[in-house]
Amino acid sequence: MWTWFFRLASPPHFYALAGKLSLWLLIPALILVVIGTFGGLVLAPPDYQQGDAFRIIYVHVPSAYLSMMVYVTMALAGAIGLIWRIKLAHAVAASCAPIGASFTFAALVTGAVWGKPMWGTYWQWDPRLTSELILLFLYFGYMGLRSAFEDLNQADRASAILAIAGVVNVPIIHFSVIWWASLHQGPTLSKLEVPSISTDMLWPLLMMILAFTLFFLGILAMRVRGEVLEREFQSRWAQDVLRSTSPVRAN
Amino acid sequence: MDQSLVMGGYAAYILAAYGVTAVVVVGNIVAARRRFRRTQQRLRDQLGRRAAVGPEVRRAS
Repeated sequence: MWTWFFRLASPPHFYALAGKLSLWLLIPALILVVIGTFGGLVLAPPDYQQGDAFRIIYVHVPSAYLSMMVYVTMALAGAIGLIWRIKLAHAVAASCAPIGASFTFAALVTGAVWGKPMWGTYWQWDPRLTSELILLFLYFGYMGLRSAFEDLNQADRASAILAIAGVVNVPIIHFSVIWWASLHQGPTLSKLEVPSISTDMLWPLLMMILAFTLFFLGILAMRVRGEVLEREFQSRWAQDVLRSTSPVRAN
Repeated sequence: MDQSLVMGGYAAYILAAYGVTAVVVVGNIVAARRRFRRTQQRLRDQLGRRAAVGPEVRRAS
């Protein structure tokens, strides 16, 4: 297993693997998005309390789930990079940030749009909403901190520490609806033993969550390839890759 | 208009939410592809400049 792990962490191996994987992840992701969207918008019955407005759940929950999952991935990758000094881990962490920030933004906007007809307001300084907003600021802080350093190693180390420190916000987001009085509804999916959503409504949601997860992995693979190429520019294999993919080959 | 067509009066909210998500999804694909291509191009240019300078350096030494 360790052999496999270290082989995966080898930049040239990962670069080649990620190139093949990105399409194989993105195509099923987009197919699942189409099926999930059709299921959510057309096949799922309206909610008995919220009516059709509940259909926003099919984009809001996967975005919110991704916003937290990407942050945890970023913090884990940062920790692996710090502890084992694996350069690829820092490349993964750096590539996670823009993806996570965009889905945190999507979660906040879709939540606000859902909040208006249900709560009568787009925004409330509610624990769940506020902690999700803090997550967005953590992503911005992470990206800002990275770009503040000219030295890549310093940027990797400082941003990894910020990512690890900020991970404490993720359980706060998740449990905020349980710990504090909140306008936001309680967890729907984590209560697997007592499902609080009917199967007709559940399957498109699970499909969208799977689609978003595959989408994230596909985009991550694309972004990490660029990061790896940049970091490995001095090495022979990266220069060979650049020459072999060059549109006009130098004589 | 048929009630199902306007999604119980929530169509504007639902479509806005799906629209924003679609923009984020498409934006991620476009941004990732563009960034990768720009990185490739920039590094190729650097490599080209090095190749152009290389023989001069070798001759000088």
